[in-house]
Amino acid sequence: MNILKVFRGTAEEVKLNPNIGTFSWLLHRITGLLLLLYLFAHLWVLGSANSGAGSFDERLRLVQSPLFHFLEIGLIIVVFYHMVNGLAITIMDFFDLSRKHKVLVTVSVAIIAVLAIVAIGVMLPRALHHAPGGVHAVS
Amino acid sequence: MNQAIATRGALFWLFQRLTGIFLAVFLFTHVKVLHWDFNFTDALMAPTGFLDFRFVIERLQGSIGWVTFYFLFIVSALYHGLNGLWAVVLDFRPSRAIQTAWLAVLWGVGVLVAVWGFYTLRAFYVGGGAV
Repeated sequence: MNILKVFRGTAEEVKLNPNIGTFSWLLHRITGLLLLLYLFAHLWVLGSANSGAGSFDERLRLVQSPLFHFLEIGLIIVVFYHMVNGLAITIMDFFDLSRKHKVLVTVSVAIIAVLAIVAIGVMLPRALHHAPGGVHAVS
Repeated sequence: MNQAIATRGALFWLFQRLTGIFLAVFLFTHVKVLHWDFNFTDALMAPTGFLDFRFVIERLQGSIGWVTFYFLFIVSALYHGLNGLWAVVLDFRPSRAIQTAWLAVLWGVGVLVAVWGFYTLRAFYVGGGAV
C-alpha cells in the first residue's frame, strides 16, 4: 500500500460515483482527519499546564492571536460539518434509512450551511477586534 | 469472515456511533464552560483579556466531576478519531501484517495520549486546589 495508490484509489472512487453521497463521504473523512490533528494540537497546547501556570499562559497566548481566531471560524465549520453529517449517518444506520441517504445528506448540508453562516456572523466581529489592546483590554 | 472478527467489527461500529453522540454533548458543554462564556460574557473576562490558567481552574473549581468529564471526553475523542483512522486505512485493503502493525500504532498513540491527557487534567486539578 503506497500513498500514491491511496490517492489514486480515492480519486477513482469519486470518479465512479460522482454523487452527493460520495462527496459527503469524502468530506467526512477529510474533516475527521483535520479534527484528529486538531485534537493532538489542542492537547499539546493544554499539556503545557504540566510545566506550571506560567508556561500554560505563555503557550495559550500564542493561540489567541487574530490569525488563530480566524482559523477558529474554519475549525467550527469543520466541526459542524463532521457533527451534523455524522448524526445523519447515525440516524441512517439506526433507523434503516440508507435508501433515503440523498435526502438526509441534502438536509444535513442545508443545516451545516445555516450553522456556518451563524458561526461566521458571531465569530468574525470578535476575530477582527480581538487583539491585545482591542475590545478585551481592560480600560 | 470469522464470527469473532465480525462481532468485534460490529461492536467497533456501535462504539463509533455512541462516542460520536457523546462527543457532540461533551463538545457543547466544553465550549460553553471554557470558551463561549469567556469570549461572549463580559463579566467573566480575565483581567489580561486572555484565556489563562487562572480562568480555567476557576471554572473547573478543583472538581473531580470535571476531571471525570474531561477524561471521558479525551478518551471518547481518541477512540472516535483513532478508530476512524483505522477505518480509513482498512478501506485500502492493506495486508494482514500492515493491519496488525497499524493497530499496534493506533493503540500505542491512544494509550500514550490518554495518559498525557490524564496528567494534564491532574495539573489543573492540583492547580485548582492550590488557589
